[in-house]
Amino acid sequence: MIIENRKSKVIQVFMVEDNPDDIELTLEAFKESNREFNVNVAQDGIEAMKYLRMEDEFNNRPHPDIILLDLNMPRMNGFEVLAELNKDQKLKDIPVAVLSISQSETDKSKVKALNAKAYFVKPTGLDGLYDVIQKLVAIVEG
Amino acid sequence: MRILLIENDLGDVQTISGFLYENWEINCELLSCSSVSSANEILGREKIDVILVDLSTPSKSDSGTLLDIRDKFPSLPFVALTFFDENEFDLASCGIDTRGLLYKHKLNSKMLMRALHDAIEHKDLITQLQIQKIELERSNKDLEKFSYAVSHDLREPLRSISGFIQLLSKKYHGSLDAKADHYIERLNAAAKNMQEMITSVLEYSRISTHAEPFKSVDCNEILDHALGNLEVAINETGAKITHDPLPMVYADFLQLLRVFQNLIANSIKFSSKDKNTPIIHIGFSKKGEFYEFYVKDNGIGIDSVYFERIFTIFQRLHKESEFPGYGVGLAMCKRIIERHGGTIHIESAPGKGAIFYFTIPVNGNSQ
Repeated sequence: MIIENRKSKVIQVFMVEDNPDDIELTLEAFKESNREFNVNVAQDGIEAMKYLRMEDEFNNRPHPDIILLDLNMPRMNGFEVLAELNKDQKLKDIPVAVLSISQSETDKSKVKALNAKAYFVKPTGLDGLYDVIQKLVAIVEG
Repeated sequence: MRILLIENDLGDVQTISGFLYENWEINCELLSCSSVSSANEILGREKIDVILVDLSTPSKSDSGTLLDIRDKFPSLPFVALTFFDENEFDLASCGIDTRGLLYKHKLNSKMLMRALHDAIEHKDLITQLQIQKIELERSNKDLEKFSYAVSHDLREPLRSISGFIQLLSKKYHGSLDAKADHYIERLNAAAKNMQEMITSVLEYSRISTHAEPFKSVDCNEILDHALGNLEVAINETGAKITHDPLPMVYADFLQLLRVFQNLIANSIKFSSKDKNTPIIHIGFSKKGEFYEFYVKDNGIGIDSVYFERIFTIFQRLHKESEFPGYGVGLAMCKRIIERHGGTIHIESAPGKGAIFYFTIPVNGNSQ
């Protein structure tokens, strides 16, 4: 009998974020967490879709357990990424959590309508990021 | 000056042109017609500076046409002529502002010319004021949008600053010297401070940029919400809070809630020094067109020289260690009350407690 040791499982995170500071701080927060994560990053929606469809240089990259998605990005924004994912049979079941600076209720309800699993307002400080990471784990393992 | 005379009595037309010729000015020109509807036609093709209308000329059915003229040419001044002390046809009652009412039997040339000039000057002034008002409203709106955008966009780099300072502190605390640790601590505190201030500016500018339309709201319900939100502070200080039954008003529920909550929170804060028990009463009275609410406390009070200053954003009278806060609450109250067409002020003296008064129009404000 094989018992899967869930604790040891590395969680594959795919982060879509254009702000280099946010990328670095979030990566640090992942590292500080008590779980093991493997985080890949794309810096806009177009690059994100290429990665997820494993096109070109993204061939053989790990399939994500969860997508952490920013909304306001150049070329293709977070809403457009969500709409693309919904249309794609192979990708539509990957859970998406939005992490955005926007506190607008309109944005929150738009994101919900596009089937995102969670909406987090970008926190100030590391403690807020640890909380977000805890919630991501809950979504993946829930 | 081109004058359009509306007069159906030919004799009066002659008298009036006589008066005009007596004090004739260069560039002065008189056009006349016998009905309001033909005046309307003339105005369509001629440039007119002032209308001189005999109040006995328009019939009741003409009042609509006179209003049309006013709507089509809002900057056109009117001067009215009448035979009677009591007008048969009241221009003011149909919304037309007559600058100067002249009695035909007392009329002379000088009076007529002065009335015409006054009317034009008055209208010019009004037009100028209106232009300035529109300009002022526009620049106020711009400023609000600007402060909203600035404070919104400032949060982004500030988040990075706070994040990296925390990272620095977490990873290197103790491995640098004591001075470095102290600097990091100060940086952290300053970043937090700035974060709070930016959030406050955002909320302050949101009062008008993210405002809800006014509805009929029950102030008793608003007060219940406010007291609910302040439950922790009330329990901690043992504050005794009483209130009159409050009226219904026409307001933005969340904003008015904010006013009550900020004022009561302030009262609790400044009345609980040295384990004093805050005693607070919320009441109101009707004063003409307004409800005047008040929040009265037994706190430390303030000197009258500060009465204006406390309503300005980021103005504080006490050290942070004495009474925490950023100096935003009362500024917020003032702005909300002004948006509702009311005013706010304080009555107080050091050691004698404070009473904050604010008014809300009984019948609502058109915003």
